[in-house]
Amino acid sequence: MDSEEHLFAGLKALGIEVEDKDREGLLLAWAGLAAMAHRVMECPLPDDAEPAPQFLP
Amino acid sequence: MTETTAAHIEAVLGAIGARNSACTAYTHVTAERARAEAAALDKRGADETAGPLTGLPYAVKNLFDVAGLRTLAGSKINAENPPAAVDALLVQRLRTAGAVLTGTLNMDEYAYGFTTENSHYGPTRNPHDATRSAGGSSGGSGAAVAAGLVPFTLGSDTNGSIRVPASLCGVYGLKPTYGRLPRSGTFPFVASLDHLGPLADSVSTLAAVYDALQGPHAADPACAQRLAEPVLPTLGDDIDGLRLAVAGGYFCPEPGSQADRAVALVVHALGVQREIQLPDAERARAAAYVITAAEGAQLHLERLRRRPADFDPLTRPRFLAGSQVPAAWYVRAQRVRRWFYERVMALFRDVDVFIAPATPISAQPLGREQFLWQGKTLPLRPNLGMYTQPLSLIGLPVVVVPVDTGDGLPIGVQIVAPPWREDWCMRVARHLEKAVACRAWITDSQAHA
Repeated sequence: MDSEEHLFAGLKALGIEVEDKDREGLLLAWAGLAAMAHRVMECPLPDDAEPAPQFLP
Repeated sequence: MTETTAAHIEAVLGAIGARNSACTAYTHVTAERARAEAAALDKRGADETAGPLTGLPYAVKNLFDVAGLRTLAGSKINAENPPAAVDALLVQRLRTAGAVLTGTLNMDEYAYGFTTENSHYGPTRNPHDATRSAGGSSGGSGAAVAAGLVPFTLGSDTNGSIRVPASLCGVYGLKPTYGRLPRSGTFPFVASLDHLGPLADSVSTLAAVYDALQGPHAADPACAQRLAEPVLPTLGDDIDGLRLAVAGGYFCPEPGSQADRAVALVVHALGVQREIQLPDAERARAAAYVITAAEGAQLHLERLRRRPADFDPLTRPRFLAGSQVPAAWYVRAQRVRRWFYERVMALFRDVDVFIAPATPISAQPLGREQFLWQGKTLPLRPNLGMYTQPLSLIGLPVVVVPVDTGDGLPIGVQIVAPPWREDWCMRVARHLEKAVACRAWITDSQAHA
């Protein structure tokens, strides 16, 4: 399953129907989100870096 | 002033009626309520019970509850909800302080945007050039002040939604420390990032309104149990004792751009000599983006299931994408957030206040999709927040000051302090306001003069 199939399968699993006219915009939004997530995932965090508390500061 | 509050408010309502259609700042004018509040103030008279904001007209982003009105949050779906039973807490506090509510203001749907190009209620147009955006998501809040309709408004800021319209409309805006102002009675977007705050036509008004809004409230679990820390008493203090710096690296605007010149003007006016580097600010911005997508989509999941076609075409695809954020991305983003917070706090050991651009560019034509930045073509709408997102991610207080670079449109600069030091941001902003280059851009201030 490629990422596009995975995306639409995930939406379907949540009970969300995507109309054909929305597919292109959704894929564009997903690409933007994935690019941001890539920056987050490549961040060289130390093992003891805790998730932020719900409420900062 | 011999004019009654009722007469003053009538003039304000007249100006709103005459000029709102040019900018679509308001989505609802609470004329009868404003008249009643004004009459009550006149009846009470100028005795010692008068509040600090007595007779000042204002309006709120339409995600604030106003008794008797439906809390739209910029959406078509929420227009079917029952009217709010009571005012949002901050609206209650402003009423106690004597301010007069004149209406509710346009915004991006569910606050997910930086341009207020709302397909349900129309775009908010920039009062300085009606072909351009007022910024967002609190675009109506910025435009109402810049158009001279009211001296202050309330907005919300999750990733920059007070600071971006303040920058593009040329007014002052405050995003307080996360947890400073209670959000009770407002429609949320991203619980762990949502802030409320004022926009105003002067620093003194911004400070007076902020002081009236402060104080804890148990109904918002994120609201810190801190007593009010008024900023007005020290607003006029000099800034000689503050250690100032300018943010470099990620926060360096494109050389020679309007944003670059704005930062240079502020740096010069303040005599800033030092530059600091916020470590991995680009990754922090990315973390804010991921957290926003995940939490925002989670909030709207049921609406996405039931009524996807009723979402604004500009928000629907992003909410849909956000619903699929893997846990690995979200948790990693929260770890980056904590890591970034601790490293920025370390910088504040040597610096009290730093300067950063608010937006990479000034107001752009409505409908524009892209802009050129440092040799790259970037999507416009998400990137208006590139300089605001890393700072709200870690809850820092920020005041945006408007700057006149001589380019015909305003642009803002962020004044940033450590948590709970809004007073430092305000003092620096007041110092800059005295400089001619940092006055608010108001197209017509006759309505509330």
